[in-house]
This record gives sequence, structure tokens and C-alpha cells, in this order.
Amino acid sequence: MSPDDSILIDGLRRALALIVSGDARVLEAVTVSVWTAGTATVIASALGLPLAFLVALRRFRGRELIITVLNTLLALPTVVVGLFVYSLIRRGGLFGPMDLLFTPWAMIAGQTILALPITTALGQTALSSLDPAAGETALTLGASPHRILSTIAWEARYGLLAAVAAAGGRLIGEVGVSMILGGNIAHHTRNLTTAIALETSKGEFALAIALGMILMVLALGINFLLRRLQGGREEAA
Amino acid sequence: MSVRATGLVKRYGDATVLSLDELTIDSGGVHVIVGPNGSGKTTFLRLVAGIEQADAGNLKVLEEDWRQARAKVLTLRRRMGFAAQKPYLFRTTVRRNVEYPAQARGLGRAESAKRAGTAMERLGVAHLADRRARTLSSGEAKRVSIARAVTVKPELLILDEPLANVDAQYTRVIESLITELARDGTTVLVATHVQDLAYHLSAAVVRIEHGKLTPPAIENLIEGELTDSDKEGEAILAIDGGPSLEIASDRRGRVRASIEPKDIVVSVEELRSSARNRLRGTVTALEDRGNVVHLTASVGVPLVVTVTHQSLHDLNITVGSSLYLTFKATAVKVF
Repeated sequence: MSPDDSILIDGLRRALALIVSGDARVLEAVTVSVWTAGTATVIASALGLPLAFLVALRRFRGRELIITVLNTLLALPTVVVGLFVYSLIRRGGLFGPMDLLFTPWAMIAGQTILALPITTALGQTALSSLDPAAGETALTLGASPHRILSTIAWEARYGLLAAVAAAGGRLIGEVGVSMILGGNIAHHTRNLTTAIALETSKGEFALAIALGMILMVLALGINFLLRRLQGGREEAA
Repeated sequence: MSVRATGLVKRYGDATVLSLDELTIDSGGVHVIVGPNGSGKTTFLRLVAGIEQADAGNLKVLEEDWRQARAKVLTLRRRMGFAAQKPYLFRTTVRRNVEYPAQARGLGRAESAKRAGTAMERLGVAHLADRRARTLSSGEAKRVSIARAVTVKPELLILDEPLANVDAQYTRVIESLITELARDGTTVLVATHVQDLAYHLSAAVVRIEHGKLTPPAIENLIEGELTDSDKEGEAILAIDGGPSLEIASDRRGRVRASIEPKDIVVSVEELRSSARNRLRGTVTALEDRGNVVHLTASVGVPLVVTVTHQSLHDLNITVGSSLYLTFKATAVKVF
């Protein structure tokens, strides 16, 4: 066994102890991660899914361009988003007076921008791949325009939820936005990913691995959800 | 009238899929559009149902013009029922699918459930009520979609190929449903590619081919009452306002039937033959159709017979001549 292996195994053992004992630093990081990523996912869904409806169901000039741009933005680098929002909310920036920098709200703003193309683009794909007969059937059965939309949303629910889960999965694991906009402040903006970066650089492998394990479990949970939703779609097709 | 189309045109890209000069469908009763697959039947039904807009012409449905009815579109849609050839069932239970139209009209849970229950019972899908609609066979899905279309007692019921993929035992169920709804005042508009089914359902049959109205390819359509005969395997068809025929059929009651013009033999004197039907009549019209002549003879009802010019000449037949029409019991086709 190499020394590297022993560090990893030792780290894992101590990580389990930290998780089981409910270490305050671990709990804080989890709370910040879930709160910021969760809130940003909700906002990005509330804004992105209606946009997805608009792009998927309406025919207008520039629609193809919007779809192309959205698909490009799916791979938006987190540090670029961080930098962009930083330039807006730094002291002297457009939103400087709001005093948002290094707060969870700054992280949420950046993460929302990161997630918006995901909920919009994947939501649009889900709606566009739905059989047009779904909306037509609602129409012929006497549904009001509002009910037709809610019926379409219901029929595409697996795809729409998958879009939301994909956004959540991306946000829970991102580090660039959190680091630049949150500043990795203990008890305030330190989340799982920025804590792992910090603890690793300090040589605190056990804590870093404990945090990493929790992050993996969260990411796995979201992906399991995603798989289940896609499974549901195949079953129902 | 229920539907009136004038100069109606529908194009997909460069292809004109429908071009109807004039088509009127009266209120009440069963009306059938027959034509081969891809002839434009479905397109016409989709225009009537307001799923698609015509590219030119006028289409009045239930006295409303689709183009001018913008403000009343929802009201107009709610006066109709539609069951597509390939039905789309929502991703939920069969019950909630059938309840949908009633709930969309704000009829409330209890009333929607009651109506859905009655409709499902009628179409023989009540036992499937709690099944997921997407797990049904195509025949079951078809019946569910018809149940869904009739829950709200539409003034105009549009059924696209209602019997395609349906098991034989339920064919009767759907046929009698169509007849009953029509009797209760619903105008039923059916599209089918099966000519026999068309005439089985109605005498009001229009034919569409390549997107255009074409004359029905059927002559000598008669209606009457089929009763038992004392001879085995035979039945007596009492034609409305005409003579009684001996025919070969197991069916009883009111039917529509036809006699192929080429299966009728014309003679000046009564023939002694195995043919079961010998009718005396008078020639009322002669129409030259190239190689043959279409002879119309009145035997109480008009019947068309195809004869050659030579036969006409040999028998010395003119308008007003008396003659005998002879045909076998099996020449009468019951729909």
C-alpha cells in the first residue's frame, strides 16, 4: 500500500466519523450548498420553463437563433458567470449599492444565470419532442387556452422535471460562481465545493473527503431522480 | 345544416391535399366520408374540428364561420366531439382521460365522474377505468377515445375511422352507439376507407379522392326491411316504396343494399331461370356511356342496368318500353 492510499483510507475513516457525529462545519457547508443551489434552481425553473413554452410552442422570427444561443449557453463556464456578476455587484458596479457581494444572494444570482439556459433549453427540448397531438387533443376536447397549456405541461412532465433536476445537479457541484461571488466566508457563504477546495489546500484531507462524500451523495441523489424520471418517460411512451 | 364548405382548400407546402368546391352536411343523422387512405378525409375532419385552418374558401360549422368565429371559438369547439384515427390518450388513467371534456367545461367532479362512468360503460371500457391509458391496446385506446368524445353530448360528433383496430365484438357496440346518438339528435360525421362500412352506417355518403369530391362508386342503393323467408338461407327484402326481393343474407331488420348494374339481365319476356328475382318495369331513361348504355327502369324504385348497344338494338328497347329485370338472390349486396 502506497502512502497516498493510506491517506485516502484514513481520510475516509475520519470522514465517516465527522458525518456520523454531525460536525458543525460539515452541516454548515451542506446547508449553504442546498439553500443556494436549491433557491437558484427554483428561480431558474420559474423563469426558464415559461420561456421554454414560449420558444417551443410559438413560431416567431429569431426563434432558431434563440435555441442556438440557449444550447451554446448550456456549457457556460462557471468562472465566466462569476466574473460577469462580480463586475455588476462589486463596489462601483451597476448593482454595487445593493451590497450583494460575498453574500448567499450573490451566489444565488450567479447560479440562477448558470441554470437558466439549462431549464430553458432542456425544457424546450422536452416540449418540442412531445407529440403535437397532445395539445390538439386538449383543444378538440374543449379545453381553454390555459388548460391546454397545463395539459401540455402535464404530458411533458417527465422531461420538464428532468430539466429541473439537471439544473440542480449542475449547481450543487459548481465551484467558480460560489468562490468568486460568495468569497468562501465561514458560517456565511462557505458551501460544500468551496470548503473542499479550502480544506484540501490546508491539508485537511479528512474533512475534504467527508464533504466530498456528501457532495457525491447529493449529486447521486439528483441523478437517481433524473434516471427515474427518464425511466418514467420511457415507460409511459 | 351542420357543415358547409365552399371553395375549401388546404395545402401542405406545395401539395394541395384538399380542394372541395361545395360540400354540405345536413343537421342530424349519420354522414360518412369515404375514400382511400391519403385522400384528404382526415384533413377535412381536422378543418371541421378547428384543429387546422384552411388556406382558402369558407367553412361553416354549426352555423358559425371558423374564420369569423374567433371570439366564439371555444364555445364552438365545446359543441363538438372529436375522436382521431390514432387517438392521443393523456398520460394518466383511463378514467381521468374520459372525465377530461366534462371537467374542461367546468361540470364539476361528481358530474364529470358520472358522465365518464356512463360513457365507459357504453363502450365496454369501464373495467379499464383505473388502468394507465398508455398501456392499452390500440383497439381499447380507440374505444376510450370515443367514450371521451361522447361524454359531453356534442351537437356534432366527428369520428375518424372509428372502427379501425376495433375487435369484432365491439364493432357492433360502436355502430349502435353511432345510430343511437344520431337518433337522439347528434349529427355524426364519420370518415372511413371501407365503402361497405360507409353504406352500412348511412345512405348519406360522400366520396373524396385525391382531395376532391368524386361521385360515389355505387349504383342502385336501396333501403328496406329484411324479414325471414320460408326458404332456407334466403330472406325477403321489402324495398321502401318498391317490390320485395329474395336475397341471401343472415341479417334482419332495416338494411341498406345495392345491386350491381351489370348483374341484372334485361329481357322483353319473362325468363325461366334459376335467378330468384324477376321484376317487371318500364324504361325511364337511356344514357350512352361509350361502350355501354345505362338503362334506368322503374320497378317501383328506379334501377340502373348496364346493357350493350347491340342488346338494346336487338330487343328494340326505347324509353317507355316494358321489360323484365332478372337477377340472382346473391346479386343483392347487403351493407
